[in-house]
Amino acid sequence: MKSHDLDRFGRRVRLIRAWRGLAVVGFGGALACLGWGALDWFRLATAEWSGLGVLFAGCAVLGALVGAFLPVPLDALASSVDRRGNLQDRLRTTMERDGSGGLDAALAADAHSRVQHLKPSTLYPIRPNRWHGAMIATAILASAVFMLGNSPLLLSDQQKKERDELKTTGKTVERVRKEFEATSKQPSKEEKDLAAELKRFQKELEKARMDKQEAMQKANELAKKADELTRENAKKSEQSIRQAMTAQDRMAKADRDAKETKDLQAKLADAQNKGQELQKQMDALKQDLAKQNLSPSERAQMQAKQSELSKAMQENKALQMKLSQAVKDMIARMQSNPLYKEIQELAQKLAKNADQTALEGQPSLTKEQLEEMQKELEELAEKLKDDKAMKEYLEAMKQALEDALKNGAKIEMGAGLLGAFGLLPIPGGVTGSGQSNSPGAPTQDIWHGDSGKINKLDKPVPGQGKTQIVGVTGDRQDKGEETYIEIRGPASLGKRSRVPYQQVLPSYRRRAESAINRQQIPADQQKRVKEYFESLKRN
Amino acid sequence: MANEQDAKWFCDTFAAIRSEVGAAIIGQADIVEGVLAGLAANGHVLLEGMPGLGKTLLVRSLSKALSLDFSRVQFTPDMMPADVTGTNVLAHADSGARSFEFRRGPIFANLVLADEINRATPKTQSAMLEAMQERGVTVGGKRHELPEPFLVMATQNPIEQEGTYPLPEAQLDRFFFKLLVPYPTRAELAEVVTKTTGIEGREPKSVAGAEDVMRMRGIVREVPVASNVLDYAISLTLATHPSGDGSTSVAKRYLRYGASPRGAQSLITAGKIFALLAGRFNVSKEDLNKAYLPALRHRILLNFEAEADGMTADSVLGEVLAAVEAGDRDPIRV
Repeated sequence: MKSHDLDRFGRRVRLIRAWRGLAVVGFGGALACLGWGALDWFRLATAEWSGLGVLFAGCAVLGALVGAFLPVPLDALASSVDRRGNLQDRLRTTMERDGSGGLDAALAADAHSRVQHLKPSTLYPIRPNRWHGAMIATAILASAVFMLGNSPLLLSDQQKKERDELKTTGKTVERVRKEFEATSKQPSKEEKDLAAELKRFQKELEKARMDKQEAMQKANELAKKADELTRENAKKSEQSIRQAMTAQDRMAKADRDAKETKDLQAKLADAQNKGQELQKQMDALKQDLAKQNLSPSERAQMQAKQSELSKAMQENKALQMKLSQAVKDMIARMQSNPLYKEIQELAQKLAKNADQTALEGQPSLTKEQLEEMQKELEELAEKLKDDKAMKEYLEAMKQALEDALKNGAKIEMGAGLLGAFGLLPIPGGVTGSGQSNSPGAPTQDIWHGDSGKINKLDKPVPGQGKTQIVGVTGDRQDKGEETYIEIRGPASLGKRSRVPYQQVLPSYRRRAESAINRQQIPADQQKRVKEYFESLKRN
Repeated sequence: MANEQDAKWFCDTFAAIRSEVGAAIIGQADIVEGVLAGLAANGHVLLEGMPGLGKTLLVRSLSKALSLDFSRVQFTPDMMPADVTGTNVLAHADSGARSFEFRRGPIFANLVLADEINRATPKTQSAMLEAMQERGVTVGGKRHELPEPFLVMATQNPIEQEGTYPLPEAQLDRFFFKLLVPYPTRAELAEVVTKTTGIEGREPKSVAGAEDVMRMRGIVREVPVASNVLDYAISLTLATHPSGDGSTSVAKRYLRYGASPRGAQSLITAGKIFALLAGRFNVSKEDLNKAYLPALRHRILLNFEAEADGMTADSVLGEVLAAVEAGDRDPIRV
């Protein structure tokens, strides 16, 4: 007799246990269904045929699985087969013997021959037991309770009529709910709650678990909620539209300002071109005057022309200086405006928000935004050409900042809003925290302005900084002087630095000195570089 | 080491002895089997029954079938221990010299019938039972071994209790089985009368000897017992205790003392014999159930309530057995 002689009995036992487990746990499931159905009847819970069926079948299947996979110890199985097959403990004794006894071989042969004649199906017949009876009876009872609770049999004609009406209304609510869910692709929490409430209401209506008055009351409540939700959504939409419109207005204004700036730039370019033309004429005239074969009349004519040219050049220079001065004046006026301080405070608050946003891993400015902001900054001087325009502009900026703070604006809120910040020459930068990657960025509320003439460079020197400079390049003379206008302000462009500039200043200063010593900086620019670092040192 | 052939030989020999004894004894098949089981188990048997039921004839027939020495002791109140064990007597040699010589008592036989042992005084009973236990007697400071095989069949009369000395529990415990000899049935009685009043029948033939008995005892010991069967025997024994683990409500109500460990030993040994007789090579619970009453009925002590309720040892044990059997369920519940 070997243990595999018992395998077929083991399989049969598992089958029987599955059959029994199905009944035992299924009985539990039927009891749960009965309770659920009773709760449904008394309107304490809502039950459906599908739910009851799933609960009952789930329990039955679970019981069968547990029964099938419970372990079957071999010694217990041997004892059981001994008992059921009337083998008088032959199997169990054989299982325990190691074959060393004199009678062990005879015992094993005897047990083997006897167990061969036993059929597992005979020893362990599959038949319904009391658990199966209890399960079926309880399931029938649960069905009856559920059906009675949902049946119109016990209702009067009037109640039946109301019930039908409620059911019809329930179908309508279902349609509304589905439409509502279909339209809300990304529903908010309030919308989800409303949808869930609608679903409950629909089920209650379908099961006619409330009278007409209750249904009306509930419907009114839900309608009120839906109305409030709609109003809130409309308000939000309106606010968004208003913000969009504000941004649009600002963009339109910026466009207008840009147009005026372009006009001014065109005028300035014309003046510069005209100056160059005059200079050329002057040079040509000087060369002609230097010739010896000129008649006195020709010489006098040329000298008169030279005098006119000289006058025109002086006027041209005066015009250019005037434009420069206009920019400086505009800056001074803006700084003296009380609105400017308020805007600064708002901007600083917004900068904190922006910092927080950056810490939270929100996306920073895009390259396109940076370029746009740089352009706008370059056109700043032209925009603020008179007090009225400046006041209007500052007020618009203040309103934009207030709106931004009120709405919890973040850095990615929109290029329009950011563009508005970028237009402002705010110390420390809008998106920074007082430091900049630009080594020369002042940290005080001071703007530095300068203008003058420098010798033209033989060729443009590409900027070493990280800031991408976008400018309009045109034909230029290789020699001679050109007018420059320098405005030093806080860097509001580029990637924000988190290193205080005082820490990097000595290093940059040494590098600048080294560059000057190696003659890497043109002689005309060296003075400016030195003055720049001196000014930082003072600050 | 015993094998299948030995087991078969055991059955055949046992059947042959039973057949020979059965030829002289009409009916009483269980009694004959019980006595033979006691012989194979190296135990002693206490027979309780009315006079004239063939107890002496049984022992005599057995001795003839086995070619063993047989002696009978009729106990009376004036019997002394020396009357059982033997004593030293003064012997005269031919030369005139005198010396003490041990004269063996009736206990020096293979099969001893201690008739109405409860009529002997406790002193004599004690000497008898000591010899049964020690398989020898000591007289005058010298030990004398009893012959092997050695089987005592003591009888008691359940009536006429006046002037008797009931065996104490400690001494009853030394008997392997206590067999109740029933009155013969009508048919059996008719056959007894016919046989004993007519022409004498044939005497039992010798079908085995002392060596065969010793071999049978060796074979019995080799029968395996499964752990659950052993556990069942322990449960049966412990269930007779009025207190402790495994005690049953019947035992608590009707018993003063339960069976001793010798009871469990007797159960298992008897179970082995019955298994072999059934042609099996293992002990089953059915074997234990069969041995339950003869092995334990003399090892329990009823209390006053049991006597007041008219309960006997057998009825109490029957209920205990039923309770234990009910608790012994199929380990695979389906």
